[in-house]
Amino acid sequence: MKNSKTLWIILGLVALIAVWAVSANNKMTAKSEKAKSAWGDVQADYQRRKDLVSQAINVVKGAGNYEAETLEAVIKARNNVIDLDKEDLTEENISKFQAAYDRMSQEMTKAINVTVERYPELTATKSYQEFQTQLEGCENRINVSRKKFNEAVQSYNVTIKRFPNSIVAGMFGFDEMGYFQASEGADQAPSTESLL
Amino acid sequence: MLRTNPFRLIAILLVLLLLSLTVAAQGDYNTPGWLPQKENHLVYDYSGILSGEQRETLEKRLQDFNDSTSNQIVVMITPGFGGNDISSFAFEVGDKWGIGQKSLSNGVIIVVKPKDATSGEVEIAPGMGLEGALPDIFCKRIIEDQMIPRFREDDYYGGIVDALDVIMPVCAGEYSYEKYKEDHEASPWAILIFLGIIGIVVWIGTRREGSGGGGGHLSGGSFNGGTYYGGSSWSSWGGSSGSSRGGFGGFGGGSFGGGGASGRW
Repeated sequence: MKNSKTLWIILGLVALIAVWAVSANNKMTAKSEKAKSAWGDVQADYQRRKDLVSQAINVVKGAGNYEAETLEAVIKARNNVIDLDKEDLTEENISKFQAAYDRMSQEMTKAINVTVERYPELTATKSYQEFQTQLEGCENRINVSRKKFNEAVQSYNVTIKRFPNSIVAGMFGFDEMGYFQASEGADQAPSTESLL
Repeated sequence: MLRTNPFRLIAILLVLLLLSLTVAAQGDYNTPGWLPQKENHLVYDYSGILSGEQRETLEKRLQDFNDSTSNQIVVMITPGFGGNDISSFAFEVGDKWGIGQKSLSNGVIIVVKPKDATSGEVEIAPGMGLEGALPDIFCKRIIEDQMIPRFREDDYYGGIVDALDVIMPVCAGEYSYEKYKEDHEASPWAILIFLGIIGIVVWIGTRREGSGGGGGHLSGGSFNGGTYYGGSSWSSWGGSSGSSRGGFGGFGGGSFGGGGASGRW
């Protein structure tokens, strides 16, 4: 009689814990999904930066007598950018991803600046001005989506690390996600107008 | 000495905390990270540059537009952005206030910093749902063509109204960047057609004179090329105004992704 009562109490506790664990699990899944979808936006915005390269190349080519090697560096840097799957969002992967894109940006900026230095009248052309506007919009979008991603990751990380959620997180394999760090000079949009 | 009254210490801390809170809550455009207080209207003039009448006219027009199309356009004139650049500031306000409807993100925020000792600045930032209708380059063109020329003459109201004349029909889907380009860049075809028509008219005229009025079927052709965006589309959604003037119902929760353009003069 007494034994079965304890059994019921234990069963009840187990059921309660199970219910709590499931709800904690759901909460963490939702937050992780949110961060991953924010990553999708980040990647799309970086892709936009990649697409801008061909426009930059056109601007440079529009100047006529351009240096082939400046363009080669840009194209090489563009080939080196990587995609990053939303399941592999570690600090290390994110900084690699960012570094590759930043290098591409720097080369792109350099190519434009070198060309403008030689042909200042380029700045008056429509293609240059449109490129400028698109570059600005692209960097703005990257800043916004990066910020939203960091916020989503932070909210997720806090949730999985907080006790007792951390137990469930450990059981179901919720790992900490990485953030975007402000990289050297990359928080300022690469400006091609610095020379003007 | 170290054993001061702990209550005093706590009291001092509390006062400090309260002070910092009030500073953060009020703040002004110089406070780093300043986010203006959301209110139940659409025109915000922290520079005090619009006349009362201008502000009301603008407010009514934007509220009517919100009532009839659910697009929410905020016009904000401010001397500073809390240490931010104008673009980040605009996205922050748009996102935190939730300008536009949540499901459509159909908000727009226009920020103007009137010219001070150094420069004037302006930003047009569409919500994520309007980035397609208002691409960055279009925003840039509106800034360069519609706003800055007026702003240079200190006609801030005129510049804003001119910009809205373009932006509103675009948001409502009645006008597009493609048509804007057509209207603002006279295409060689338009000129050819125009010359052609003149030629035909002249030709008919000379023929009439010559042969006493034959071939009347050519006259009064249905050339209808010049539908300009100004007045024509206006009346179509003016109908709902005047029905319920209950004021602005509040922001809908739209989000901003960094689209738009800025300019300075």
